[in-house]
Amino acid sequence: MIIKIKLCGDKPLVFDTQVVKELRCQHRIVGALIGTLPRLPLQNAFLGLPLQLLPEETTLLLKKELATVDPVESWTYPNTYAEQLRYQVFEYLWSRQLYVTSGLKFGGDYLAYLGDPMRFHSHYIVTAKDRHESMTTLDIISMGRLATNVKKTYVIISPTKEDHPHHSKEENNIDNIDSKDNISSKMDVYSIEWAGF
Amino acid sequence: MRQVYLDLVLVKMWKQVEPIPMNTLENTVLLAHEPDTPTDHRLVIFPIHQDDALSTARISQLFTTLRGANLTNDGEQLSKITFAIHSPDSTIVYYHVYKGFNNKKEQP
Repeated sequence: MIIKIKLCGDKPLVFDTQVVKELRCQHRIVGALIGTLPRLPLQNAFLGLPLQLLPEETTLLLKKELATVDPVESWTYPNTYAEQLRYQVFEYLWSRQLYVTSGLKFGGDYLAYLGDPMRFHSHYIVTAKDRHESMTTLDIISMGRLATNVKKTYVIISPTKEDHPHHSKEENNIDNIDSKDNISSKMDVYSIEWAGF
Repeated sequence: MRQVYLDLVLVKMWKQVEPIPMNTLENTVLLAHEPDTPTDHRLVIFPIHQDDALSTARISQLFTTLRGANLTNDGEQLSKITFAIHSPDSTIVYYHVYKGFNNKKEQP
Protein backbone atom coordinates (compact mmCIF):
# COMPACT_ATOMS: atom_id res chain seq x y z
CA MET A 1 0.00 0.00 0.00
CA ILE A 2 1.32 3.43 -0.93
CA ILE A 3 2.24 5.53 2.09
CA LYS A 4 0.67 8.97 2.26
CA ILE A 5 2.86 11.82 3.46
CA LYS A 6 1.24 15.12 4.27
CA LEU A 7 3.15 18.35 3.70
CA CYS A 8 2.63 20.97 6.37
CA GLY A 9 4.43 23.94 4.90
CA ASP A 10 7.70 22.28 3.94
CA LYS A 11 7.56 19.61 6.64
CA PRO A 12 6.68 16.07 5.54
CA LEU A 13 4.46 14.53 8.20
CA VAL A 14 2.90 11.12 8.81
CA PHE A 15 -0.18 10.92 11.02
CA ASP A 16 -0.94 7.18 10.95
CA THR A 17 0.58 4.87 13.59
CA GLN A 18 0.45 1.85 11.29
CA VAL A 19 2.33 3.79 8.65
CA VAL A 20 4.93 4.87 11.23
CA LYS A 21 5.37 1.22 12.16
CA GLU A 22 5.63 0.15 8.52
CA LEU A 23 8.15 2.85 7.73
CA ARG A 24 10.37 1.84 10.60
CA CYS A 25 10.07 -1.94 10.50
CA GLN A 26 9.87 -2.56 6.77
CA HIS A 27 11.73 0.36 5.25
CA ARG A 28 14.18 1.48 7.97
CA ILE A 29 12.78 5.00 7.88
CA VAL A 30 12.90 6.35 11.42
CA GLY A 31 11.79 10.00 11.26
CA ALA A 32 11.14 11.91 14.46
CA LEU A 33 7.96 12.15 16.51
CA ILE A 34 7.12 15.81 17.09
CA GLY A 35 3.61 15.82 18.56
CA THR A 36 2.77 16.71 22.14
CA LEU A 37 1.14 13.91 24.11
CA PRO A 38 -2.28 15.09 25.35
CA ARG A 39 -1.80 13.51 28.78
CA LEU A 40 1.82 14.60 29.16
CA PRO A 41 1.87 18.09 27.70
CA LEU A 42 4.50 19.81 29.85
CA GLN A 43 7.50 17.83 28.67
CA ASN A 44 9.22 16.91 25.45
CA ALA A 45 11.08 13.75 26.39
CA PHE A 46 8.20 11.65 25.12
CA LEU A 47 6.42 12.78 22.00
CA GLY A 48 3.73 11.36 19.76
CA LEU A 49 2.28 11.76 16.29
CA PRO A 50 2.86 13.18 13.81
CA LEU A 51 6.13 11.68 12.60
CA GLN A 52 8.26 14.23 10.78
CA LEU A 53 10.45 12.83 8.05
CA LEU A 54 13.80 14.16 6.95
CA PRO A 55 13.75 15.65 3.43
CA GLU A 56 16.09 12.83 2.44
CA GLU A 57 13.74 10.19 3.82
CA THR A 58 10.82 11.69 1.92
CA THR A 59 12.70 11.86 -1.37
CA LEU A 60 13.92 8.29 -0.92
CA LEU A 61 10.38 7.01 -0.35
CA LEU A 62 9.18 8.87 -3.44
CA LYS A 63 12.06 7.55 -5.50
CA LYS A 64 11.34 3.98 -4.43
CA GLU A 65 7.64 4.56 -5.20
CA LEU A 66 6.72 3.64 -1.65
CA ALA A 67 4.96 6.89 -0.83
CA THR A 68 3.20 9.92 -2.22
CA VAL A 69 3.30 13.47 -0.96
CA ASP A 70 0.27 15.70 -0.69
CA PRO A 71 0.41 18.21 -2.33
CA VAL A 72 2.82 16.50 -4.74
CA GLU A 73 3.79 19.60 -6.72
CA SER A 74 5.16 21.26 -3.56
CA TRP A 75 7.96 18.73 -2.99
CA THR A 76 11.18 19.60 -4.80
CA TYR A 77 14.02 18.36 -2.60
CA PRO A 78 16.96 18.23 -3.34
CA ASN A 79 17.42 21.64 -4.92
CA THR A 80 20.98 22.82 -4.28
CA TYR A 81 24.30 21.11 -4.84
CA ALA A 82 24.76 20.66 -1.09
CA GLU A 83 21.36 19.03 -0.78
CA GLN A 84 22.09 16.70 -3.68
CA LEU A 85 25.37 15.73 -2.06
CA ARG A 86 23.69 15.02 1.26
CA TYR A 87 20.93 13.05 -0.39
CA GLN A 88 23.41 10.87 -2.27
CA VAL A 89 25.19 10.05 0.97
CA PHE A 90 21.90 9.37 2.76
CA GLU A 91 20.74 7.04 0.01
CA TYR A 92 24.09 5.27 0.06
CA LEU A 93 23.87 4.68 3.81
CA TRP A 94 20.30 3.44 3.53
CA SER A 95 21.26 1.08 0.71
CA ARG A 96 23.87 -0.41 3.05
CA GLN A 97 21.03 -1.58 5.33
CA LEU A 98 21.76 1.07 7.95
CA TYR A 99 19.23 3.07 9.94
CA VAL A 100 19.92 6.76 9.36
CA THR A 101 18.79 9.72 11.46
CA SER A 102 19.76 13.36 11.82
CA GLY A 103 23.29 13.90 13.10
CA LEU A 104 22.67 17.35 14.54
CA LYS A 105 23.27 16.31 18.15
CA PHE A 106 26.76 15.13 17.36
CA GLY A 107 27.85 17.70 14.82
CA GLY A 108 27.44 15.57 11.74
CA ASP A 109 24.97 15.31 8.90
CA TYR A 110 23.67 11.89 9.92
CA LEU A 111 23.87 9.23 12.58
CA ALA A 112 24.02 5.71 11.22
CA TYR A 113 22.99 2.63 13.18
CA LEU A 114 23.61 -1.02 12.44
CA GLY A 115 20.25 -1.83 13.99
CA ASP A 116 17.05 -0.14 15.14
CA PRO A 117 17.91 3.04 17.09
CA MET A 118 15.62 1.90 19.89
CA ARG A 119 17.89 -1.05 20.51
CA PHE A 120 21.32 0.28 19.64
CA HIS A 121 23.42 3.36 20.15
CA SER A 122 24.57 4.83 16.88
CA HIS A 123 27.84 3.57 15.52
CA TYR A 124 28.70 6.29 13.07
CA ILE A 125 28.58 10.06 12.84
CA VAL A 126 28.49 10.76 9.12
CA THR A 127 29.38 13.90 7.23
CA ALA A 128 28.86 14.32 3.50
CA LYS A 129 31.69 16.17 1.77
CA ASP A 130 32.59 17.00 -1.76
CA ARG A 131 35.73 15.17 -2.83
CA HIS A 132 37.62 18.40 -3.27
CA GLU A 133 36.24 20.24 -0.27
CA SER A 134 39.19 21.37 1.79
CA MET A 135 39.61 20.16 5.35
CA THR A 136 42.28 21.10 7.81
CA THR A 137 44.04 18.63 10.06
CA LEU A 138 42.28 20.38 12.93
CA ASP A 139 39.03 19.19 11.35
CA ILE A 140 40.39 15.64 11.47
CA ILE A 141 41.33 16.10 15.11
CA SER A 142 37.91 17.55 15.96
CA MET A 143 36.10 14.69 14.29
CA GLY A 144 38.27 12.06 15.86
CA ARG A 145 38.11 13.47 19.34
CA LEU A 146 34.38 14.05 19.25
CA ALA A 147 33.64 10.54 18.07
CA THR A 148 36.03 8.92 20.53
CA ASN A 149 34.52 10.77 23.46
CA VAL A 150 31.00 9.62 22.58
CA LYS A 151 32.07 6.09 21.67
CA LYS A 152 31.29 6.38 17.99
CA THR A 153 33.21 6.52 14.74
CA TYR A 154 33.30 9.62 12.59
CA VAL A 155 32.83 8.84 8.91
CA ILE A 156 33.38 11.11 5.93
CA ILE A 157 31.65 10.11 2.72
CA SER A 158 32.19 11.69 -0.70
CA PRO A 159 30.73 10.67 -4.03
CA THR A 160 33.42 9.58 -6.46
CA LYS A 161 33.84 11.45 -9.72
CA GLU A 162 31.49 9.00 -11.42
CA ASP A 163 28.82 9.61 -8.83
CA HIS A 164 29.34 13.34 -8.48
CA PRO A 165 26.04 15.26 -8.08
CA HIS A 166 26.79 17.09 -11.31
CA HIS A 167 27.14 13.86 -13.24
CA SER A 168 24.34 11.49 -14.15
CA LYS A 169 23.73 8.92 -11.46
CA GLU A 170 23.10 5.18 -11.56
CA GLU A 171 21.61 3.03 -8.88
CA ASN A 172 24.12 2.09 -6.22
CA ASN A 173 24.77 -1.55 -5.59
CA ILE A 174 24.22 -2.88 -2.09
CA ASP A 175 27.47 -4.02 -0.50
CA ASN A 176 28.25 -5.52 2.84
CA ILE A 177 29.89 -3.27 5.37
CA ASP A 178 33.51 -4.35 5.44
CA SER A 179 36.42 -2.37 6.75
CA LYS A 180 38.69 -4.28 4.42
CA ASP A 181 37.66 -1.98 1.54
CA ASN A 182 34.82 -4.05 0.13
CA ILE A 183 32.71 -0.92 -0.48
CA SER A 184 30.76 0.52 -3.34
CA SER A 185 33.03 2.06 -5.92
CA LYS A 186 30.68 5.02 -6.14
CA MET A 187 31.49 6.46 -2.74
CA ASP A 188 34.71 7.23 -0.94
CA VAL A 189 34.22 6.31 2.69
CA TYR A 190 36.75 7.11 5.40
CA SER A 191 36.51 6.51 9.14
CA ILE A 192 38.44 8.66 11.58
CA GLU A 193 39.59 7.47 14.96
CA TRP A 194 41.94 8.82 17.57
CA ALA A 195 44.95 6.52 17.66
CA GLY A 196 45.09 6.46 21.43
CA PHE A 197 48.83 6.96 21.73
CA MET B 1 59.17 13.54 9.62
CA ARG B 2 62.21 13.76 11.87
CA GLN B 3 60.10 15.17 14.68
CA VAL B 4 57.59 12.32 14.37
CA TYR B 5 60.37 9.74 14.21
CA LEU B 6 61.98 11.09 17.37
CA ASP B 7 58.62 11.21 19.12
CA LEU B 8 57.96 7.56 18.37
CA VAL B 9 61.46 6.30 19.12
CA LEU B 10 62.57 8.48 22.05
CA VAL B 11 59.34 9.59 23.70
CA LYS B 12 57.07 6.63 23.08
CA MET B 13 60.04 4.26 22.92
CA TRP B 14 58.80 2.19 20.04
CA LYS B 15 61.36 -0.34 18.89
CA GLN B 16 60.44 -0.81 15.24
CA VAL B 17 60.15 2.40 13.28
CA GLU B 18 61.31 2.37 9.68
CA PRO B 19 61.39 5.50 7.49
CA ILE B 20 60.30 4.90 3.90
CA PRO B 21 60.87 7.75 1.45
CA MET B 22 57.96 8.34 -0.91
CA ASN B 23 59.10 10.55 -3.78
CA THR B 24 55.66 10.73 -5.34
CA LEU B 25 54.24 12.12 -2.11
CA GLU B 26 57.24 14.38 -1.45
CA ASN B 27 57.26 12.96 2.03
CA THR B 28 58.66 10.11 4.09
CA VAL B 29 56.27 7.73 5.75
CA LEU B 30 57.10 5.61 8.78
CA LEU B 31 56.32 1.94 8.92
CA ALA B 32 56.09 1.16 12.62
CA HIS B 33 55.04 -1.53 15.00
CA GLU B 34 52.90 -0.29 17.87
CA PRO B 35 53.83 -2.06 21.13
CA ASP B 36 51.32 -4.54 22.53
CA THR B 37 49.83 -5.24 19.11
CA PRO B 38 50.30 -8.40 17.04
CA THR B 39 53.87 -8.68 15.82
CA ASP B 40 52.87 -8.79 12.16
CA HIS B 41 50.78 -5.61 12.40
CA ARG B 42 52.23 -2.36 11.17
CA LEU B 43 51.09 1.23 11.17
CA VAL B 44 51.75 3.34 8.09
CA ILE B 45 52.36 6.73 9.64
CA PHE B 46 52.09 9.78 7.43
CA PRO B 47 53.55 12.97 8.94
CA ILE B 48 51.50 16.05 8.15
CA HIS B 49 51.70 19.59 9.39
CA GLN B 50 48.83 21.18 11.27
CA ASP B 51 48.40 23.78 8.53
CA ASP B 52 48.34 21.35 5.60
CA ALA B 53 45.07 21.04 3.77
CA LEU B 54 43.34 17.76 3.14
CA SER B 55 40.36 16.58 1.15
CA THR B 56 38.71 13.28 0.45
CA ALA B 57 40.40 13.25 -2.93
CA ARG B 58 43.79 13.78 -1.28
CA ILE B 59 43.18 10.96 1.20
CA SER B 60 42.12 8.73 -1.68
CA GLN B 61 45.33 9.59 -3.49
CA LEU B 62 47.36 8.73 -0.40
CA PHE B 63 45.77 5.32 -0.12
CA THR B 64 46.35 4.64 -3.81
CA THR B 65 50.01 5.71 -3.66
CA LEU B 66 50.81 3.85 -0.46
CA ARG B 67 49.09 0.71 -1.69
CA GLY B 68 51.08 1.02 -4.90
CA ALA B 69 54.22 0.98 -2.77
CA ASN B 70 53.04 -2.34 -1.29
CA LEU B 71 52.71 -0.96 2.21
CA THR B 72 50.28 -2.92 4.35
CA ASN B 73 48.99 -3.05 7.91
CA ASP B 74 48.81 -6.82 8.27
CA GLY B 75 49.95 -8.34 5.01
CA GLU B 76 46.66 -7.64 3.30
CA GLN B 77 45.67 -4.53 1.35
CA LEU B 78 46.36 -1.30 3.22
CA SER B 79 43.22 -0.34 5.11
CA LYS B 80 44.48 2.26 7.57
CA ILE B 81 46.76 5.28 7.44
CA THR B 82 47.86 6.97 10.63
CA PHE B 83 48.23 10.71 10.34
CA ALA B 84 50.90 12.17 12.61
CA ILE B 85 49.73 15.77 12.88
CA HIS B 86 52.46 18.05 14.16
CA SER B 87 52.08 21.65 15.21
CA PRO B 88 54.60 24.51 15.55
CA ASP B 89 54.90 23.98 19.29
CA SER B 90 56.14 20.41 18.61
CA THR B 91 52.93 18.75 19.75
CA ILE B 92 52.18 15.62 17.73
CA VAL B 93 48.84 13.85 17.70
CA TYR B 94 48.01 10.62 15.90
CA TYR B 95 44.75 9.81 14.15
CA HIS B 96 43.84 6.71 12.17
CA VAL B 97 42.00 7.12 8.89
CA TYR B 98 40.42 3.86 7.72
CA LYS B 99 39.24 3.19 4.21
CA GLY B 100 35.61 2.20 4.53
CA PHE B 101 33.57 1.80 7.68
CA ASN B 102 35.60 0.90 10.72
CA ASN B 103 33.39 -1.67 12.43
CA LYS B 104 33.21 -1.56 16.16
CA LYS B 105 31.61 -4.02 18.52
CA GLU B 106 27.86 -3.43 18.73
CA GLN B 107 26.68 -1.78 21.93
CA PRO B 108 23.11 -2.66 22.90
